Amino acid sequence: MKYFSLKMIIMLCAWTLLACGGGDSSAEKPAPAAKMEMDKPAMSSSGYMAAAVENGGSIMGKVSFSGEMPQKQKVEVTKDANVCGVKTHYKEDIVVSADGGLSNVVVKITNIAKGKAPDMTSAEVDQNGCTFIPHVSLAQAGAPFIIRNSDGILHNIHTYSEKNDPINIAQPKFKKTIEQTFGQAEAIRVSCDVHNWMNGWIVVADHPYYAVTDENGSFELIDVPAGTYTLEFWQETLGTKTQEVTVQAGGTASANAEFSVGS
Amino acid sequence: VLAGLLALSTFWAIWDMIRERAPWQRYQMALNEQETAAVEGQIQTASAEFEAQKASQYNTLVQQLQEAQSMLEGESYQAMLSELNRADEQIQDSMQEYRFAKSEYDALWYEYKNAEHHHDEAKMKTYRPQADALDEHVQELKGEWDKAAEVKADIESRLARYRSDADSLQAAIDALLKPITDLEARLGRIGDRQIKIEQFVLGDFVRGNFESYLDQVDRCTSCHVNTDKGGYDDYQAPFHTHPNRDVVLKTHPISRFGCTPCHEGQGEALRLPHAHGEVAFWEHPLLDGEWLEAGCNKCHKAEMKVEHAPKLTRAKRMVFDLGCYGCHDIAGYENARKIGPPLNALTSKTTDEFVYRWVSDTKSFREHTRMPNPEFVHEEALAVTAYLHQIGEKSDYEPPMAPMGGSVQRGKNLVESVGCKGCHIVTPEDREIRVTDVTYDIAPDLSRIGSKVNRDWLYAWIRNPKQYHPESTMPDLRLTDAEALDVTAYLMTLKEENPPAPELANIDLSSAELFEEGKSVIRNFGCHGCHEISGMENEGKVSVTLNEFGGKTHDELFFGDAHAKGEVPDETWDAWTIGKMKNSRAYATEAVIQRMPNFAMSDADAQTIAMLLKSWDSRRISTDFVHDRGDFGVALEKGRRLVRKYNCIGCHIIEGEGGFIRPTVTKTLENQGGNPDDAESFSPPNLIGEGRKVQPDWLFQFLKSPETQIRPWLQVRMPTFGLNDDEVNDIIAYFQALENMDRPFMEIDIELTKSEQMGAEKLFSTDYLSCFSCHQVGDKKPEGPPSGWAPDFLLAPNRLNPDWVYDWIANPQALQPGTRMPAFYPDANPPDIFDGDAHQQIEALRDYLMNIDKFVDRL
Repeated sequence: MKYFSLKMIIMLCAWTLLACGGGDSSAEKPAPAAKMEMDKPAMSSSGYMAAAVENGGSIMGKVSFSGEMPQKQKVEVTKDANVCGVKTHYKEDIVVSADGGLSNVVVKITNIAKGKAPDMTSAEVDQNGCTFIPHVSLAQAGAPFIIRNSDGILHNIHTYSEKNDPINIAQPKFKKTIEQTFGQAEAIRVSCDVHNWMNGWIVVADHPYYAVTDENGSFELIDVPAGTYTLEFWQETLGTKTQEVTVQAGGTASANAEFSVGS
Repeated sequence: VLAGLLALSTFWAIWDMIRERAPWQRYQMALNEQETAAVEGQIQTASAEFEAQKASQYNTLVQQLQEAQSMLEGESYQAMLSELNRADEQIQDSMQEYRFAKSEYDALWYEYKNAEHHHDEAKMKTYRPQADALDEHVQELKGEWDKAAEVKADIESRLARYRSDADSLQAAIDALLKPITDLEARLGRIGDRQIKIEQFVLGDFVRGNFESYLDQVDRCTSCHVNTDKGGYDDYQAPFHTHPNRDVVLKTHPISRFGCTPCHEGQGEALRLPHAHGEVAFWEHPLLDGEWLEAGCNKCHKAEMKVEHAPKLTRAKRMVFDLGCYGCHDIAGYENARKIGPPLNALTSKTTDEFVYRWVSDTKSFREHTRMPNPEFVHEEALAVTAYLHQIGEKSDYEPPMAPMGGSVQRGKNLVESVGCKGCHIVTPEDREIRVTDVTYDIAPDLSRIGSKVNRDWLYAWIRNPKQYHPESTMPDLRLTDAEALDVTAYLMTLKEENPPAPELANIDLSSAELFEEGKSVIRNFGCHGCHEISGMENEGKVSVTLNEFGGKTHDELFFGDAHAKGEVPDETWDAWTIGKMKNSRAYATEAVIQRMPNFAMSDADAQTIAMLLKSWDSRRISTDFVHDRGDFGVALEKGRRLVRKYNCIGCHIIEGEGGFIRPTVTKTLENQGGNPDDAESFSPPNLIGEGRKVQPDWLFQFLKSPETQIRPWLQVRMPTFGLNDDEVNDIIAYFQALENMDRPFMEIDIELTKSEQMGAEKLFSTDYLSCFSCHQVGDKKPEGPPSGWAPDFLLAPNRLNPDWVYDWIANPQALQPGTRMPAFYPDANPPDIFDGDAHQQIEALRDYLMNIDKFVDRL
């Protein structure tokens, strides 16, 4: 109101020839210039680049379990005993060898931007004897992953994932294999709803420097370009550990890790 | 002199207008400048990119084009052109020759026919051979003409090839340049824009005092130029695109709704602060920030849920839950039930000490109770306690004595598993993990229940809540007497840690004087607005109507000393209302008593309610604008109120909201050694698509008596709410309305052909889909524990809608994300049944399932 009426009065003054001081009304400042966001170029999802690795080194190590050895827990087979009951089932959330080697630990380099091309030869999990074999399997992001049914009874594959769309696909007797592609790197818990004790993991890798420890807790990563890396160890119930490791050209670096309950 | 002054001032006026410009002009110009600069920048970037990436391609193309064009000027092309000319001439020539010969022939033929007519044999013999000879010549000439035409066509097609090379090269060049030329065209369009006032006239939105519609003009888009234009989301005000353009403006086009009907402000004004109505005496300034959604309620007043207005929806739910209509007249709540329990038999339920403490300060016992705090001073509290004591003594409700015993542990397990935690907080830990859509408890917090109620009352209550309180929304969980006793035993162990000392030791609560005092306190404070209380049957609502509260001006509101004491920031409607919600006694002075019980809301809740109150005013909106979905709207409204009333969303997810029990289900699952990932399937079902999924007759029966166990793996159970027929029908209509359906009766008659039956039986078998691996059929149960089972197929014929069954088999995850039912289709369909045709297989499965009751013996 003030701005408007002031000017009106001034105009009126002028017209009625009552001379007024030409006090210039204070002009409003134009609005601050709005900013325009330019489109940013899209980054590739993982940022990993494949290139030939010459004279690469390797990382070898062993993951062990310390502290009181966990009791092997038997799992009761409540269904399809003629197929599932052939072997004794144990819980697989922590599997330790006689000398303390911890299996099913996923070892990966977390900060590698460039290295060998993905070279995974077989990426699959088998529903065999009503167990997921292996308990932790590796998949290459964007590449086919095979889910096998060696049992000849109805199974299904139910994933609990966040980055990838969850799936729940039936795998009846006649469906020996299912091919599935996971696009994003992620550790995905899988289950079979028909046999509720069946649990496993599919770990989707977005570069080739992933390994799963074997029954002795050992692992090896090969063709690693020389450099210093962060190595991550992940176990489904015991959590994550990281350590730095330096790989010399053509050399072998050693990296061991130790997990315990509550660590 | 005067003339000179006039001329001068006129000159000054014009000069001032041109030099200074109105704000909307400056805005539009600034936007144009800014956009021009941005587009010029984009052109530069595009050009640079072009130089870097496409220049060589461009040069090659240009070169090729030049070659192609020079070809067009080259000798061979020119030679071809003259060939074309020659071919043309040839055509002309042979055509002419042919035509001459043909007419000659026609003449001879005429002579011949003429002779024939006169039977002149001699002439006939002369003409006939001549004519035949000439005809041969004519045919020859025709052949030559055709050949000449072919030659021409061939030359033309060769010419076209030359030209098409040039044309396609030109098109490739244009495509390469397109990003830049498009930008340049855009620059041109910006340059062509006129600086002008934009306006929308609304002639029929709101009625004035004399029944006629008031004309409104909205010129907001003169400054907010891009409101209805896409692509300006990143611009600052006033140049940005409407943030909800895709959803809200689509259904509320500016051309019809304008701006001020939703946003308020002074539509015809073109300057700030006038345009935003932020000037003295403009009644409805711009609603922005926290107040924004009040604008929606003008046309959506009658709806519980307003799409895209979550805060408004929440405010309406709060009014519904908190029972504001117990004391205030509020449109839409004329016949609402009393929100609190009856207080006529309190002596059977709790102690006088507890009543005294509760009415003095509810929050000291239950911090999150939804009951507002009466905050009675000692005399008031004592009188009210005495009144309730005396009517309780006279009440004929007396719970039978509960038997001794009951297992605390079993009771605890039951409370954790059957579903009590869908509505109740039971332990302090539940409070930490349970999240709902409101800040108060919808049902009593039971974590100190043992310090409040007496054991006999509790046992009777759990067994049948309706006996004590017929209008109670607490359902019957169908516990056995032994189970009810276990639950009672457990709940009685939940006690307050340090209860306050008793205060009524030497007080006689049976005095008539206290009774009369209590009666007057209750009457004055209006406790009967929420509670049924003997002796208060004829009392009305104690407070004012709120229907036009939003139109009150600040001088109609009493602030007391609150402003002076710094309890409200200023003396405005906003400050008063928010202050009242935060502390309903804030404006009390020695002379002015305030009786509204204290809701003591948080800042956010207070603001939410104030926002809703602001929308309640006396303006009358044309019915053309009031949102009306007809029968579906009525069904949705009734359903949403019922869902709220019975707190269905405590357990179920409905319309994507609720399922508040889930964190406690997860916890229970964990405690039992299960996997928390399974919580989804071990929780009460998400009722997405329920209206389409089940048959209305079945749903009616189920809601009336939900004993049928559908999901054998669930520990939590659907309780019996004791709904009346109208309520059940309203719920069915609501679920159907959500699916845009209105089928109160569903005739199911699915025919099963012999080949379908054979196919389906094969599909069901272990060699194929192995359905019975998880699903039960009546008494035939799958292997393993019930936690791994799936619903009984025998329910299907009477329960499920066949259309839904088809979709479910085709893709269960799409209908119920997270379900344990795996997808068999499209990939796991066996190739040797119906030639692997998924559609036929699914149809056979559905048709068999809808008739499965006829085949039980075969399974």
